[in-house]
Amino acid sequence: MPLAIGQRVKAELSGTELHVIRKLGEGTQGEVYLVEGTQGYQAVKWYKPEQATKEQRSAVLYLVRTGPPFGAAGRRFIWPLDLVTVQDPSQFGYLMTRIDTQQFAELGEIWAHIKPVPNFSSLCEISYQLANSYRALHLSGHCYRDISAGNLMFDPVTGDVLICDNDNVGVNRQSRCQVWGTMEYMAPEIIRGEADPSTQTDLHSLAVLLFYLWVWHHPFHGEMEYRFHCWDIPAKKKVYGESPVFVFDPENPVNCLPPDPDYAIARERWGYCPSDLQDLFLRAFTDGLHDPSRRVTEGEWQNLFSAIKDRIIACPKCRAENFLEETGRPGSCWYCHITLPAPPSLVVKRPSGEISIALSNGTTIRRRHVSLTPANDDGGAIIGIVVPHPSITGASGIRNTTRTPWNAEFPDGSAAIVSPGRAVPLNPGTTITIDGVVLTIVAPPTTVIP
Amino acid sequence: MSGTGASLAVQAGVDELTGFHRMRVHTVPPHILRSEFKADFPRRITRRWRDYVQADAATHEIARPESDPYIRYGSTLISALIVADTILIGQIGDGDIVLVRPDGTIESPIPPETRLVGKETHSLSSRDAHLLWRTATLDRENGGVLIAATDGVSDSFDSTAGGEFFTFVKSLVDRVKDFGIESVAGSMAGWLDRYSELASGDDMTIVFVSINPDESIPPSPIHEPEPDEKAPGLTECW
Repeated sequence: MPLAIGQRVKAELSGTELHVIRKLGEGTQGEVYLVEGTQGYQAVKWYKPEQATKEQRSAVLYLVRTGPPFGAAGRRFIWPLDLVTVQDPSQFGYLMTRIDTQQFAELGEIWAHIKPVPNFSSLCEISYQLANSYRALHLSGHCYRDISAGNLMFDPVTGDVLICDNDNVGVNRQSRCQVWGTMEYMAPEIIRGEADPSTQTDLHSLAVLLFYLWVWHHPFHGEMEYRFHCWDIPAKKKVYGESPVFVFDPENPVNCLPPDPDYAIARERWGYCPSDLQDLFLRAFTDGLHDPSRRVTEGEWQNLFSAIKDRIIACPKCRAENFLEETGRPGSCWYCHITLPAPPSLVVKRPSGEISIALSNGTTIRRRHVSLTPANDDGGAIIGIVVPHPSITGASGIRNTTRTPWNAEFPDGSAAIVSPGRAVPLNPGTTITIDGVVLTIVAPPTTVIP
Repeated sequence: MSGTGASLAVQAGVDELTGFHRMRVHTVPPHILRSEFKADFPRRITRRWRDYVQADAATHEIARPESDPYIRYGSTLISALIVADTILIGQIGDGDIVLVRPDGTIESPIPPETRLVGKETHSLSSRDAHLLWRTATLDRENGGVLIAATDGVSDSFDSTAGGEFFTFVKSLVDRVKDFGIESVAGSMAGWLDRYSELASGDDMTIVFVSINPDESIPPSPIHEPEPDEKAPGLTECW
């Protein structure tokens, strides 16, 4: 039975009473209600009768007692806070924080143009945070088992992520689960009945979700799905589990995109993906399909999205965001097609290797660029931002947005303290020292004319 | 051709939902039925509509301009499938679908389009139409009256957050309770003509379905409104 407006329910572990204010929405497993209690407004997911099983109740209690993964990565999970009950013991739900649906969007709302489309920078951030959070969950010994776009909400402007419906999270390779996700996100070996959900099958689902985010299409929806007039369960098993073929597999074109208007958007958006992102998708949906040990790990996704975000530059003519290729060589703007001037970059030498950040107005330098961050921090804090000079047209600098001064050394040998709020000019050869890490501003590569 | 496009849209919707129901209802649990509807219906219905349009265009030997082959057939569509415990809803473009529960609560599962300018709307002929669908699922519970209407109906009322339209919807449901659904259906054409004449001037279509109806209500005729009598919900001068 659904909850009634005005009904009183009980948060079992805290012993507090909650007052049902209104229904917020309905999902595949239950309804979500706005409730008011001692902690103010929160939300309750209330299970439909067929989902309110003893196993689900135990799973919720386990998650409430365990808590989410630590730090920023864990805070993105809308984790069960308490078991919620009524007098009838066969019914229950769980308490969780309320989501601001004005700020956070579902992918379907982006597709339907209800919320703004995230730019490349936000898309990198969404993807980075997703990988970062699932990495933390997997490191805590849990698997999610139902990764899909239906469980993801994100801020299309900032790229901040929330992961919902965490009640299917379980101990990797141990606990059983009544929801195994939807077939389009399931790893092929689950569909074939050869494996149970695990962190390894989560990696496949994560790759499908990331592909949906970037390409707005399913990686196996090509000629094979197109030709199935009857899209029933056997057809889905064939396409997702028994003979999955990546639509952009250059070695096997059997499932390429048909020449139909439905597929134009996928072709177009695949073209926007930088080549190193395309390469990872290719591995995830070719080698990774047949050999789970070859799947792209959360850490690999995390590093990739951090790296490609550092290669975004704004077109000087139309302001569209563009990815520089790994080589740093200039390409042409995807929107207005002018040849992009190569930008200066900031090279950071760290014990783990050198990274290069393309510099244009609006580029952000984050904590993770200069230091190894602890497990409970994703390093997303902005420590510097490229800003235009207030009076010299065309000149820019990196503004110190931290509370501590930086040291700068200029090519002529002079030095300066860069106080918080001040900016260092983008003068090639200038070095900036932040927390003992040296960052060097490097001139754009010169174009060699043969 | 947009009238033909709309007829083909309805046919495609019925065929797709019938097929979807037949293939899954006995083979997948309810929560999978709901998630598969959301995942598959927009893509499959859009493709089916285009197939029907192509067939129709071939029958009528309509040359399809290269740039926009489907635009002449463009149509919005609201679809709903009511199964044992769930109501599955899909909508592309403008219009309204609401469920009035037996206690009078109105559920509006698909929020209105907000980012389009003026009277613009998405359509089955829009680019990337399969991505423009909005879907929702509702628990059937103890039913109610499900009402789907083209934008002309709600445009006849004060547009502020449901306001007058919801009053109309509630009064419609009250009449269904009092007189039976067939009697209300018999009077509907006259009411809609009157709304169109007095307000939006637009074509109007309204569909209402009584889910888990109270069989104890005997159908009884509703008298046709006199010219000066107000149709339900149209209570303000403007």
